[in-house]
Amino acid sequence: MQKTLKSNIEDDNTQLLYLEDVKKYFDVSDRIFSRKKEYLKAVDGISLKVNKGETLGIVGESGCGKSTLGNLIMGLLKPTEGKILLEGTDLTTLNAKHLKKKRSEFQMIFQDPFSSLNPRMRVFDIIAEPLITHKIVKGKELEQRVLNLMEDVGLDVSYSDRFPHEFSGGQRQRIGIARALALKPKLIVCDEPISALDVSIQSQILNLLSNLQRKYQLTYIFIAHGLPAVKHISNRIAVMYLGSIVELTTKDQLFRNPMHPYTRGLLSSIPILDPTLRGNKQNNLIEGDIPSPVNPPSGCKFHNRCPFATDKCKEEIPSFTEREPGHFVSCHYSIFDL
Amino acid sequence: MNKLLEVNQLKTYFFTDNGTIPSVDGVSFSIDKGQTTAIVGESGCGKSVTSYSIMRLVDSPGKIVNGEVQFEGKDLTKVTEKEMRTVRGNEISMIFQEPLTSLNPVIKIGNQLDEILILHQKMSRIKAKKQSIAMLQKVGIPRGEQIYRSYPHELSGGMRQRVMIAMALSCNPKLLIADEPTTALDVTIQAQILKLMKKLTEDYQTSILLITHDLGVVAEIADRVIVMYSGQVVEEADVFTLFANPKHPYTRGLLASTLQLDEYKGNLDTIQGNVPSPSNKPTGCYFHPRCPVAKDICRKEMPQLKNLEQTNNRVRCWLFEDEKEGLLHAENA
Repeated sequence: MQKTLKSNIEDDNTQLLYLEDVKKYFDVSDRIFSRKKEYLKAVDGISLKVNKGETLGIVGESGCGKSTLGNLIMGLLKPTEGKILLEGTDLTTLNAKHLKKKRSEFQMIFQDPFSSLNPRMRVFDIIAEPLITHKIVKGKELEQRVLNLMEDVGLDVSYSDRFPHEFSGGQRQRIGIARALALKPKLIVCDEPISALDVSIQSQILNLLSNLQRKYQLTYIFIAHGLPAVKHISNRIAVMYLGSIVELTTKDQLFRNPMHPYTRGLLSSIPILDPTLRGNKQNNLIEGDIPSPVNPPSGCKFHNRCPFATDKCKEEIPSFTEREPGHFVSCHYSIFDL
Repeated sequence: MNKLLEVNQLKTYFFTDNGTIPSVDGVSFSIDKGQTTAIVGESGCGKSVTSYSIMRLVDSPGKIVNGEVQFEGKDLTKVTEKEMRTVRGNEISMIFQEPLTSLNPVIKIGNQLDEILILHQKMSRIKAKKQSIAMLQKVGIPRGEQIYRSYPHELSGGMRQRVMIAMALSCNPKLLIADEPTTALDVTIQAQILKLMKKLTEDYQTSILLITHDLGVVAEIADRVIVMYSGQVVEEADVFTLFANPKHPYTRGLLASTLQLDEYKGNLDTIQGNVPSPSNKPTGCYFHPRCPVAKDICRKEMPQLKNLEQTNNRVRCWLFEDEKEGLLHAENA
């Protein structure tokens, strides 16, 4: 990755998380008949930093590696290569015992509130479990803490001895958020926290997340495929395509001046809530399908769907360069030349 | 009269051990020829059960207990199962949300396409194959010959949905029911599929009944919109009126809470509370516990679905019972 980004990072005290050239390859070779090794490059060389108190949005379509990246940051997967530093500690080198200790500092909220809560545990026990496991509090104090957490996320405290199935999707997601908050983490990775919810509930959860961030100075990594939600909650946004970041910048710059052709296509694919404008954006649609990450296109991975691709794009991998302060793009060309 | 399908007072109830669940509770609407009608609503509002009832695909313990579905002079709730089978796939066809589960995983794409043509159009195998490959090309699948010989798992989600559309349109149906056709797809693929559906229905003059929770998709392709809440129609209007001037507080809330790329200041608009459980509906208007402008009467009595003056747009809300007062309210809100 660039020297520019790296040197930026080194003299920066505000950063909480720093990823350096992180790669995760899954071995998908046919073990019986083939000697050739084949890898699915889910995350293919990602470097980024996350500042304290900010929300970094990660968007991309299915198979772009955004969830794998979230799992790598959480230490649920070991990277094939690269470093993941949380306040200077490399999480990839920690053993299980130390990682468990460190885990109280970073937590996760999952997509599916139906499968991420143990159906045989009561709400109280679900939220109390991290506090008990990490031996933070017990007895009366534990009880008070759990009830406070339930209030924080807008759950009625009288429901504390109910089971998850007695709650609706939105309320279950609130339980998941309370559980993630229990250990007062510094970083919360939210992996598609609203995509399984109904429209009217989505905004409730987004509002809750923003309010909690203000109250507890949380740092979020918000992974989602829906750009409107990411736009609402994020300070900076990384756009991923087939395992790499193609564009990384502040929210304002990304929407005012998107520089990567993929980002532009993604923006114009979003339906607008105004039937009088229908059909206006049809020309910018991205053609074709997302290629398989096992066998991605050569050169720039987006070249086979890019309306502006040239021969150079088919051969050379573009570098991830800073086009304007804080705005990184991985494309051979400037969008103004195209 | 240009009506293709007319649903009248349709009631589909599910008789479970824990009591009767009125999933569809007196739904009436009609679809004109060549028109795209969308039913929007959140999970559990009865939009999918409505479409399954039209196709008579509701399984036990569900049952159509009342109402009629008029299609080309027949009442589909009354015809025999044999007649119904000639309607399904031939005159009304359906595409589903998850194309992987609606395609047979152990039969090649081509054979699945041929089967419909052989069954409904009585084509020969050779002719069916030719027609199938032509259909695959029509839905924008390159290398139709190769895909014809593939299995469903070899295709991507977008491709599978294209195959489903090819299957659904192969008998040139008069009505295509699309149940959340793009929900499982990525946005760039969704845009492609919507464009394709728009083009094909224009070419074939097919009417579409689109079932969706996504108002963005509705704004892109629908002509008329029906908003459902808790088993009932709460508002029906043409797409332009609905988006420019939504009447029912639920429609307004739904539009306000749909995330857009606009800049938001502070908190997002939401509809407070949760969708009521279908086995335990509130008294009066089903929406009143979540409604920001609920009055006393809303808690006691269910409002009727009323035509608004001089239009065929309808709304079910006490605010519009006295129309002038209602419009005043809508302006203030």
